[in-house]
Amino acid sequence: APPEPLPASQMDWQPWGDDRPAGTVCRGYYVQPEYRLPAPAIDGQVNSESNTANYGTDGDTVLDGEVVLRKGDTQLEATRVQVPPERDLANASGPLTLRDKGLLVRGDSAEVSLNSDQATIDSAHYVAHESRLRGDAIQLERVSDNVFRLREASFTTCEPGDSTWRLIGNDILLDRNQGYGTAKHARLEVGDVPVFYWPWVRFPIDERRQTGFLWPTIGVSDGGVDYAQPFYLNLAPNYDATITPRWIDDSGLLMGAEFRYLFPTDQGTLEGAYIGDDESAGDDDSTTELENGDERWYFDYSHYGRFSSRVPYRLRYGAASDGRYFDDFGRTFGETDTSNMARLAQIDYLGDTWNLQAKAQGYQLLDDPVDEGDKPFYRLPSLTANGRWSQDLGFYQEWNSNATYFWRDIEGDENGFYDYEDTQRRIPLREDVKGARLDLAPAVGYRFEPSWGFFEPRVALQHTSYDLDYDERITDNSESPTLTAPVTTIDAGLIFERDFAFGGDDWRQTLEPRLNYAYVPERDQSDFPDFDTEELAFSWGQLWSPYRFSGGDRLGDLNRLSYGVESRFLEDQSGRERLSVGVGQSAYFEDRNIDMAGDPDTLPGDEESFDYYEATRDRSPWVTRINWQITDNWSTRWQWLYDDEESRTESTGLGVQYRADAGHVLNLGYRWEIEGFDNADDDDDVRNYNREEYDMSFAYKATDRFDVIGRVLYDNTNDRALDQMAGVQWNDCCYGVQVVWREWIEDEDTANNIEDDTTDRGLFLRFVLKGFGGIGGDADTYFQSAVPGYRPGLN
Amino acid sequence: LESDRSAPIQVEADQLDLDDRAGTAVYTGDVRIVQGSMILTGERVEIQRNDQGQLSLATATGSRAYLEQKPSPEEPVVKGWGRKVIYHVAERRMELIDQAELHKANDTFDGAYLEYFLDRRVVQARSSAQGVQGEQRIRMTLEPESQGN
Amino acid sequence: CGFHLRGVGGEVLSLDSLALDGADTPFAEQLTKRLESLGTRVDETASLRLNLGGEDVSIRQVGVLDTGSQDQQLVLRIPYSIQRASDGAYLADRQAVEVLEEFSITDDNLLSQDELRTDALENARREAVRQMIDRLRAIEEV
Repeated sequence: APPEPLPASQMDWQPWGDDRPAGTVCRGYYVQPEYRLPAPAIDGQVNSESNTANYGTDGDTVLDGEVVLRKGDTQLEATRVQVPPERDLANASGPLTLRDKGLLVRGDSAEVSLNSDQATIDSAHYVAHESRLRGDAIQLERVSDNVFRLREASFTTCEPGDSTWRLIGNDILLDRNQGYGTAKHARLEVGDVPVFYWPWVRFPIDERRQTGFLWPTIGVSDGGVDYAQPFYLNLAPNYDATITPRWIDDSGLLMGAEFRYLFPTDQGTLEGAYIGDDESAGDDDSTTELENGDERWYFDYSHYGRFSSRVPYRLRYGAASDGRYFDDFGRTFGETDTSNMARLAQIDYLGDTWNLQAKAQGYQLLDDPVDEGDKPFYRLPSLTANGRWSQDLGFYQEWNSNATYFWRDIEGDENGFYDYEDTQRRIPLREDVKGARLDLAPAVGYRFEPSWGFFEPRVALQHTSYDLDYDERITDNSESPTLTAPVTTIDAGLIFERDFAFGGDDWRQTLEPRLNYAYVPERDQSDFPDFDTEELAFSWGQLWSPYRFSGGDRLGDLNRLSYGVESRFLEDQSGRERLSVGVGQSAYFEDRNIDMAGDPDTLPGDEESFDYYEATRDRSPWVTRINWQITDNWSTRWQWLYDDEESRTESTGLGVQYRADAGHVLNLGYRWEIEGFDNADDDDDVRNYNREEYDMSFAYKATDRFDVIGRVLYDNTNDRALDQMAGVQWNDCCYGVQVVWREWIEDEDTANNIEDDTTDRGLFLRFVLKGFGGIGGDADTYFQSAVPGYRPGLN
Repeated sequence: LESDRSAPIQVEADQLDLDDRAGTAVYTGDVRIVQGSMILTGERVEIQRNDQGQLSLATATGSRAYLEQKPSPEEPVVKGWGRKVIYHVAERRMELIDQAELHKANDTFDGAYLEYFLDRRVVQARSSAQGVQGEQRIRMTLEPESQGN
Repeated sequence: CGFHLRGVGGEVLSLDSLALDGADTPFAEQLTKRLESLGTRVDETASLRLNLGGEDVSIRQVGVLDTGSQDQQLVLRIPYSIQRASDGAYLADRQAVEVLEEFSITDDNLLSQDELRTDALENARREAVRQMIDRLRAIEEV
């Protein structure tokens, strides 16, 4: 076993006094003292200083008494040094110290070569200052300038005196040029207790990307213990691989792998995982199609590149064996939310006038079991060409065009029926079709934008035509429906300003009235399919946009005038916007007949429904938007849709955030949405209750080393917590521990039925050995998404 | 050189005080004594002769006394400085005391007390000696690939 | 009540030229167009230099449920600093324009998500350009 470590004072360790910078987690730092001798003038020469020196008859030079030897960057201090006649090496004895750039080795005896970098030190104690590595060894041999071999040695990045973890091996090689170390017969000791053994392991010793042992991820969930051990292979400077064997108690051994490559203009990643026989595949819940012992896998390939600065391209193909793969094997809470695997091949041309794009796109929906009706369409392909010309006075012309072939493979009988679980479902006619869509939208406009306002009349001619194939579905819908309609908008606004003093500061306030008229005639779209279209919920953006639908399959008729005013308060001195308040409303001159059904002569059937009310009201709700940075730490946001005719709030979102300089964060949120507000057209996706949610999340940096985070998302309507999470993060000098417990609601893809919702929970523990395989990783991104504004520092 | 002992001695000095009875001669003032390959200089040089009248001991003192000699025909000259330089002719041994410095082949030594045995080519160095105030650590510059003996 | 039309009787931006240095991002492009339309030339020899960082876009899902409309928050953050060309002194250092845009997507229509995200990003970018102009107005000609 390696010798006992030396006290901190002998290892160049300088504890922080009151000069400790804020936020540091280490209790001190390594500092390399000055050299005691100047480097010799001529390279290769050796300077020495000692109490006595004897140059014997046989040519031996013996220096005694506080001997100091200096050659280049190497300095040797010892009680006695003997240099043989050949002058090729120096034998030092007595407690000695060997120093080099950023390195300290203390030992009992040493043989230091004088014409090369070789040195061998017995019972050595070493420190590498920048990478904060230290350890002890029966023998330390410096093989070359930056490569050290250690026998019976230990290695850690913990501060002297702190034995939280260390790696012990009987043959450790540290290569500071390449930035990694390898150890044979190595065992990891945590607090002097052996935790893991490797016959051979390679580990990084600095931040660079290199082969090695990445931090283990240990999780505990209802699937039992989950231990993942990534192993990183730095195959070449521009490509590497990470193999991650992962043991899950109930399921077995899951082999994961990730391969990355980086070329000057292209980069890509291929990742995946495979388990031959997952013993717990089938026992999650009754509806799954999986049985125990099933094969389960996933892979995801993505590639970015550019043929030239104007021609980027992307490739992406992901697939998973079943819809529950990530629910069961997602390692972080972020991963468990993966709901689809994207597939994409896309190339763009970004010109000054023209932007061209050709892409093939599709998704694998990760549901278990998969509902045929929910399967998204593939775009095989989608060709887009958009051009824009503008003249000095503000005139401009646009050409927007897209041609897309939509396709999906679903099994529905000739009337669209299919079985889902133990019921029969029907594919809506407008989605039970394949075909090509041409979407042209040439436009002309004039934008006059002086500093005091803007005025923009614009007319776009929307033309949509289809070439459809209903296959054996019985329908008398036309196979080539088409529409052509002008979309006319006039957008105008003025900007008034004034300066005023308030609370001792100078402020500038703006007052910005705005008017926006939009007219879109009715066109019959009852024969139109629904490939990628959705009716948008009303919002501040909808006030100023003529398009009531996203996607290209519906053109909503509209004849309305929106009016609104916005006022901003800017700090005169810095120009920073401190407060902005906006209020607006739309006045409708005609009912909106086009909905997803697309029939211009009808309105929603149920006159009591919110859809009917939305289609026939002659005033939109008042939209109020407030964004206020109250102080440097407190800020609040508020969006409120209030219907003054029915005097009720349709939707409101209030957010308050506190960010302390010390890093604490508190977010409070309230959301309310009237039932039916989110008018999705698929029944499963419509919430059949008023949505009222309280959202609280916080991150508290208790001390420099200890963070506590928490989040609660409470569904007040149904009196249940949608998401509860509590996490602690201990962030010490040489290790980090993250423990997160989370419980959240899975709504099993049925928003309109909360009885079938299930509760998932998981404990997530992550032990990070700092400086021993890099830091950070997926756990951090989850923290940041759970607690906005929180920046966990794990280094 | 071995043959130096029988070589004639030339002396240049400002002043000479002879003491025949004790067989000593004391030269002062920019003294320079040459005997074969040996050169000895100093502000004050006291030389003693043995019964046969040959030079047996020379002690040079000064701010920077100097002694030079070729240990053997194929070797380069050895040079030594010191506030006090004592040359024991019979033992072919030189002592350099206080601010001492010795250049031998490509190696240099300096410190409080250096002792060099010309025949055995042995150097003994110490960082303190009587008559020397304080400590003067021995500093060496070693040429690794020196030809050695 | 003291309100007057912005820019009437006096330039909005007192800078007649500004050097723009930074990633060639769409934000930098739009800012350049807007500066020039307000009469500020963008050229390298200007006495003031605006160093722009890249567009840092992060999208966060607010809710938890998988179905129905899910609220998303897009945060566009553009770090910047303003330097005097003559001596490199920093008039504004390590600053950033941060704009938050909320939008909601439904999971049953994956295909329109990209379009909604792009629209949200474009709105955030327009707002960020506007705020950047307001900040530049506070810098007097040096």
